Amino acid sequence: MPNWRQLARARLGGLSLDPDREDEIVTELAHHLEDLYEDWCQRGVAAEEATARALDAVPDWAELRREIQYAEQGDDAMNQRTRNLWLPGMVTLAFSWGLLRLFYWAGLRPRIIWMDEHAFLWFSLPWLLVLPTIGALGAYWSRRVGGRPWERLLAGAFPAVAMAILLILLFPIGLVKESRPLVTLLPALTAFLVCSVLIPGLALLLGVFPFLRNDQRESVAP
Amino acid sequence: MVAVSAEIKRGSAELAILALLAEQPLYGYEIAKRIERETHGALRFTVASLYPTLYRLEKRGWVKASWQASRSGRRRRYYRLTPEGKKQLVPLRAQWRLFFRALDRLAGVARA
Repeated sequence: MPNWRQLARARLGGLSLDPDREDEIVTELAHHLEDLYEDWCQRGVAAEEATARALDAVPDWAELRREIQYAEQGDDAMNQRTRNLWLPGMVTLAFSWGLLRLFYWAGLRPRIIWMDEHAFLWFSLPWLLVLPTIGALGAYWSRRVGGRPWERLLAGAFPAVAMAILLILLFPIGLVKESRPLVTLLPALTAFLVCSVLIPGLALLLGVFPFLRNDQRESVAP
Repeated sequence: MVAVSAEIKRGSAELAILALLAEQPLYGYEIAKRIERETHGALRFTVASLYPTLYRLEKRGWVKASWQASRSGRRRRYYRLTPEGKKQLVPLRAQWRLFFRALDRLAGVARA
């Protein structure tokens, strides 16, 4: 007979709960799986097949972990979103902009290449090099607290998303203020989009991708 | 096939569990088996749907759990209804009765 406790723990591992409570939950789930297994065995199903059928009772361990986490924390949907997305996202944003500022103070200023009177390209190599780590931090944090893949993606790429939102909000204002035809501002818009949204976004996503998959402990063989 | 909203599923699951526990304390596996048997398989609880619901009810103080020896002699975590749970079951039953009556009036669900 499989070691159901070990099996349940391996798949469910990573609940952010008090260790005693986590142990109690693992034990209870293991007992349920064991009862299911014995039921199948009593009906004449072979041990291996009975194990597989018992495990079918939990098609998605990551989802079960999330549901248990939510139930245990007694949260409503708003709190879940704050914990899974807004909080890690805001920390990612603060780290990202804070580091850019820090590099500036340390003399590692961004390189600026003027294209015309209004448009310029800018990049900071040290900043771009640390962005994957910051993206990974956001996505890992979101996954750790039970975030779904899209929440992890957004939490990790939050600084780039924030810049895109800022651009959408501020560009029309700039257009009115400058009172110039849109076509003359297009190079500036494109340069900002590439240097402040796309390239940092890609760097952040490099760190995010490994955390879009569920924890490997969920796919441990029986 | 018509998808049942998560809120309806969640609400009906809570009612089913509370109604069963009003009769006697049961452990998780027994609850799942009893619900399946008594609804002739129409309602089925998987591990993924049963335990989060139980933990939610426990968190609200509607059920209380304790480890006890089962009939087989093994220790199982038995759930029993608390006085607060009993109090909640009354309006919950009334709400669901009202809900089904309303659906019946509207769409003839009972005769469908």
